[in-house]
Parts: sequence; structure tokens; C-alpha cells
Amino acid sequence: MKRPQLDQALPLLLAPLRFVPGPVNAAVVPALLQQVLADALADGELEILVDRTLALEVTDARLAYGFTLRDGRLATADPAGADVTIRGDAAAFLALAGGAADPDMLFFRRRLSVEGDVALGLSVKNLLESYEPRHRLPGPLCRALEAAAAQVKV
Amino acid sequence: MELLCPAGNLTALRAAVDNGADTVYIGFRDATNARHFPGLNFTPEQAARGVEYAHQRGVRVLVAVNSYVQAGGWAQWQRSIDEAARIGADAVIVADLGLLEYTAEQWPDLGLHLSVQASATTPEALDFYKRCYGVSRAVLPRVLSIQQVEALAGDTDVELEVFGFGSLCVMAEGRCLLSSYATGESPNTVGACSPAWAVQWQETPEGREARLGGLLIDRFAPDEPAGYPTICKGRYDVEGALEHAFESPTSLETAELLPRLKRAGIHAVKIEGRQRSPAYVGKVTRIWRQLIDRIPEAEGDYTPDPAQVAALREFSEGATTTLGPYERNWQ
Ligand code: SF4
Repeated sequence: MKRPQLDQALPLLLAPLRFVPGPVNAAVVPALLQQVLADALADGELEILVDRTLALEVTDARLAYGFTLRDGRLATADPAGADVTIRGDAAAFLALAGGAADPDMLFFRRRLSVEGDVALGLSVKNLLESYEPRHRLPGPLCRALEAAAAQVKV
Repeated sequence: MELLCPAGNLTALRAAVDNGADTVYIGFRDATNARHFPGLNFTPEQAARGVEYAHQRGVRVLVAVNSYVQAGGWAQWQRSIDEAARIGADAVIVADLGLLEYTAEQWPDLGLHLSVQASATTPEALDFYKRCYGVSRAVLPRVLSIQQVEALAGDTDVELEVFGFGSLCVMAEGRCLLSSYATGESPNTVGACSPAWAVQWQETPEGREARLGGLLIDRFAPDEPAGYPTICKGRYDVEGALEHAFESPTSLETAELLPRLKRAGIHAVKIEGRQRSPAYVGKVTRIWRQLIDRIPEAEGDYTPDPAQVAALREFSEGATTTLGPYERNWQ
């Protein structure tokens, strides 16, 4: 049985990210997002994050990231003071990133939660769905992500 | 029977087209349609690209301009009709009488469908819309029983479209005083009954609390399946009992009625969910394509493929489905 294994291993696989020093995160994470969200950025769709912070929390891996738009670029921010926080387990986020799951369904099934400014959360959700950042990854990486996403049980 | 699928953005539109939709319906990014949420829906340019993608593959595109024109709002609603015509949509889905007349006069070649928001349920009403505005098709409100749908289909020559799957509205479609009470807004006025600005979720030790316009409408126990924050699907204290006073979180699912709907001459089955993701649209479209293609010709008991029914339930609010008013035998 491959499926449950990946689900259980995910938080452990991600756990080391917890120990990445803040400055490294601040440099690497936005740069990565900047790349996969280049189209949305060019279309001005990320303006919704000007002076606002979105936090993503991966509960089982105990990871939390905050994002904001500063001087036209994505930057990390303190997730503790976020305007909206989206929480979920690692498998749920993987399924979403790989386009294998419907966020509303994960939300109904309590795999995702949204607290704070719901309008901002919804804007981000709709933006990610319409731009599908995974397609900005190199082809093999995108396919690997989709394959992994299809494996997890959500 | 024609399969109509929802799309809230270009990615979802492609998912619908690629998975077997005959027609995709969309809306513009404003209050002129009944799914008005931040970041959702199409700019006119995106809509034009969507029409191009669909038409190249033999799929039609309809534009919903189905909320009611609000005071001082005529120019905005008129613009949506004009844009729909300009991008080459096959038809618009309209409820407002002023817009119906405007469309019929200004864009005689643009198809005209009567929106579910108009709540027309009698042959006389349907005939009126056809005679006065050339409406060729009407979407039936989700308040009729299957017997009523069959009777109506026998009594009108307007094409009929019914909802097959998705979230439910228990009012006469959007004429909703419940949501107006909580937020001052409703689907027919600003295009949403749970506008995002009025929604608040809170995860507490007792479970997930949902508020609309500051009113507590439900508290879901930690592992209990949840739904959208619509006031009609909340739990309230009614004379000492805490219960779903109107409707519980659930989705309409009518696969088992398909042979009857087809025999009755229903032209099209509609999937709800412009607010849902491309993943939902793609998967639900694929399942319904197969269900429609495999409707048995012969009369008799029909059970749709249980695996497909189970897959549909996964996407449902509250993880349950219902036949809704279709099976209300007392009607
Ligand atoms: S609150 Fe319920 S009844 Fe009212 S418009 Fe929304 S879905 Fe319909």
C-alpha cells in the first residue's frame, strides 16, 4: 500500500524545513513563488497582498509562512500577524498544489481551515486556481508534483 | 441531453471543455451575475479567450447576466450584455425584464435563456417570455418535484434545463430575505447570498464556528463535515431544539432521475459550481458526461454506477447528497 505511506511520510519529509534559518527562507521562498506566479504578478493580480499578509500553516509539519507584496515583489512576513491564515495538513496542501483536489471539498471535510479576512483568502484561492502555478515549474517537476498529488489520500 | 458545466476562470473552462461539456456557462467579474466573489469570474478579454477555446472544440459558451438590475445600475448590467454579445457568446442567461427586452431589441442574434433566478414554473409564464422576448430556453428553479417537471415539459415548447448536481438554494431562487437579513445582500441584488466580506470562520476548541454578518449560523464539531456559510443551512435554536431549521448542508444529485428527465424531453442538465475549482469542474464534468451517454433507452428501474455516485458525493457540501424537491411527493 503506497498511499497511506506517502501521507504519513509527508510531514516527516517536510519537518527539516522547520530548521531552515529565517533569512534563508526570506530569500528562497519568495523567489520561488515569484517565479511560479510571474503571470499573476504581471497582470497585477497580486496587488491584493499590498500591506496585507497571507499565512499558510502546514499543521502536521509545524510549518508556517507569511507572505506579502512589498515594492511590487513577493516577500516573507511574520505569519503571526497575518490578515488571513489558511491551515491544512501536508497532504492537503500537496493535493492542492498538484491540482488533484478541490479546495472547497477539503474545506467541507475539515482538512483546510480559513481564519481572518475571508475575502482575502478567497481572492488568493481564486487566483491560484486561475493561474495554476505548477505549470510554471519545469515540465518534469510539474508532472512529478501532479503524480505525487494524485497519490495522497484526501 | 445537453451537459452544461460551470466555469469561474479560464482554467476551469478548459477543464469543462476537455472533459466533455457540451456547453460552458460563465460570468463577468461583477455583481451582474449570481456568483460574485473576489477573484472569481472573467474579464471580457478572458471571456473572449474562453469563447475562442470552446468554439474551436465545438463547445458553446453562455454568459450569465442573471442578477437583477439595481437602482442606478443600468449601465453596468447593460455593459455585461453588450460584452457578452461582443465576445461571441452563444447566449446570455437573464432574469431581469428590462435586460430581457434590451437584449431582444439590441442583440436579436444573441441567444436568450431565462435564468433560474426568474423562477418561472408555469407554461403561461414560459410562453410569456418566449412571445415577448424570444426566450428559447428556461432554467427551472430547484423547487419543483419530478412530477411537476414532467408535467411542465409536456405543456410548453420552450426548451427546459434543470439542475443535475451541486449546491442547493431552498428559496424561490435567490429571492432571499434570509441573506438580506444577515448581510443586506442577496444573489439577486449583488450576486451572492454569503458575500465574502460578511463571512467569518473561527476554529475553537468546540469546533468550527461560522458567522454571517456577525450572526452565529453554525458550529461544526471537530470531525463533522461542513458546508458553505449560507444562512439557510445553519443550525438554530428552535423552541429549545438545536437543528437545521431550513436545510442541512448537502448537495443536489439527480443521476438516478436521468432516464425520466430524458423521457420527459428535458433538453439540458446543468452542473452548479462556478465558484468551484478546475479540479471539481474537470472531475464532475467527466462523470456526468458518462452518466448522460449511458442513459438506458428502456423504461424500468435504473441505478447509476455506484462508484460514480460515490465520487460525486465526495464533492458535496456536508459530504451528503439529496434529490431535494424532486422527490417531494406531497407537492
Ligand atoms: S441563503 Fe440559502 S435560500 Fe438564501 S439565497 Fe442563499 S442558498 Fe438560497
